[in-house]
Amino acid sequence: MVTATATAAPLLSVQGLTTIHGEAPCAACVALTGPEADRNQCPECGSIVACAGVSFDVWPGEVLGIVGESGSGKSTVLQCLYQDLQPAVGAAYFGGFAEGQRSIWDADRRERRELRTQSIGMVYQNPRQGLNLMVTAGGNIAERLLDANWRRVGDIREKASDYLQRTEVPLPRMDDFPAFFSGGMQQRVQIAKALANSPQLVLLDELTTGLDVSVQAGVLDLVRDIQRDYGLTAVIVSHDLGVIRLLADRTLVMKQGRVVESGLTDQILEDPQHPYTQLLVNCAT
Amino acid sequence: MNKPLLSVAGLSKSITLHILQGKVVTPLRDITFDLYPGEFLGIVGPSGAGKSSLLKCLYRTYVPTSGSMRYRTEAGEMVDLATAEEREMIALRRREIRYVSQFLKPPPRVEAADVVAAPLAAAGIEQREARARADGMLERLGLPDSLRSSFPSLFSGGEQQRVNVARALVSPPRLLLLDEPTSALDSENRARVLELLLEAKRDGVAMLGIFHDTEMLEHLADRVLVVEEGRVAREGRVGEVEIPNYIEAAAVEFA
Ligand SMILES: Nc1ncnc2c1ncn2[C@@H]1O[C@H](COP(=O)(O)OP(=O)(O)O)[C@@H](O)[C@H]1O
Ligand SMILES: [Mg+2]
Ligand SMILES: [Zn+2]
Repeated sequence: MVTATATAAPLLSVQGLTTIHGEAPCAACVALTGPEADRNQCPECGSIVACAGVSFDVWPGEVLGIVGESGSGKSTVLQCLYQDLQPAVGAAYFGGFAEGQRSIWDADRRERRELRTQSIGMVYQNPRQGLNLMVTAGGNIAERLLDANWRRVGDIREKASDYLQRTEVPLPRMDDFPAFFSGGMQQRVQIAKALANSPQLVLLDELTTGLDVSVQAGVLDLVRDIQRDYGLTAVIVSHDLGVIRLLADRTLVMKQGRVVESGLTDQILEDPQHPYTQLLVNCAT
Repeated sequence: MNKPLLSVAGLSKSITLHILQGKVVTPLRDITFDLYPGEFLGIVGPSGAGKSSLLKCLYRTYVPTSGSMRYRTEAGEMVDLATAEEREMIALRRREIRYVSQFLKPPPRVEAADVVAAPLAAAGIEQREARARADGMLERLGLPDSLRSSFPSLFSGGEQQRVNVARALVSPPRLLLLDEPTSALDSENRARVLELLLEAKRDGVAMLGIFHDTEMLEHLADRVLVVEEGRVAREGRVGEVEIPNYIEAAAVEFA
């Protein structure tokens, strides 16, 4: 039962997402992998089942966390949502696409491009993947806005400086190449780029991994401020429970490509049900 | 006679500790009670009796194992907090149900007044107004001016508790869950919290409160549930029901 206090429809509904890497996956791949088998590589054919049967909803204004050790399939889920990967099986209905009537994985080339450039923003673990290092910081944001059909140079310039300011990238650096920035500043430019055109959904992959602890705090605060000021709808992937605790309303726990548990974030942390989640939480505290 | 805001029936909670060879602990067994608007129900019992687990189940930080917790929403609908969708719990926490715990950690690097103002901001109240109301609340709780724009993660336990209480009451909830919210406060500050809680009670806020300090309960509680080994051992009016002295047990809990 959902009362009027909750929004009527999820922004994103993922159903049965399955992604298998391998030349010729066999019929037993899914059955022979997963948390019980404690492997994601099929012993019959050697294919890697990166994720299988993953289903979840994301509601407007909500931040969904995904935790799990490295290799558990978290990033695969984001890459499928951002159209970097085409899943083997599954559907994802997104409010920003075909009125939620067709799966984003049935989109044609033009529609895919629109999804990536306009409706969904991605922040990769490695800023080099989300940035064009041979283009200035301001130019990276301009690229994103041009892709989203912004046309007036003045507007673009203004928006770019606005977002770089928000993400605390010093304005004089707007015309410098991110190749020469620190990791933390590259990450902030990447966040500015992903958010500049106000996409309906933002995907964030390990956004603090690899950054110095002091820099991590700044990046987390930035995302939290954006969450507060713009009502961000996001999926945030991290192996760090501290990041999840700080940012996520609800959390999925993944192991060997499967969702083993999901719940309110404080419930996942204080009353974990699955043996794996109990282990994860007890190792962290 | 008005209707209960909350009806808890047959609530039990077991936890399977897979990392301890599947050991099962059962913090709550078959708890039943009603709570009315404006009523304060005190929860007492020895350390480890299940008091905190009860509040955590109501807030759904713990998933109940069986039983129901039927809650009447502001919109007049009945929701079983034991099985409500996560989405709905989030909405209720945002608008109607607040939880204050002794150990609640404020978010890092957020100014005290902003921590307190957050529920107002979430309710769409304009930032300056929200901040002003938050400041007023912290002032009533005697938190010095200089601390209001500092980070509570650096505060003493007692100062953190006052931030948590201020945040819970800055916009009155309909149901307030209090887990030893004054344990680190001196008598002057306890009196300040007491005054705010009495005010909230007059405004119709229903409360469940765990206090070691029987004096607080004498002022606040209409009824008391005595919880022992996860069960309701006795219940009744303050002064009528026997409340053993659990203070020694409490000292062990903090050790
Ligand atoms: N998440 C948990 N994991 C393991 N044991 C728990 C958990 N929560 C509660 N318990 C156990 O349940 C019992 C009741 O705990 P609690 O509700 O904290 O009691 P109280 O608040 O009355 O001191 C205790 O034995 C406690 O150790
Ligand atoms: Mg307790
Ligand atoms: Zn196979």
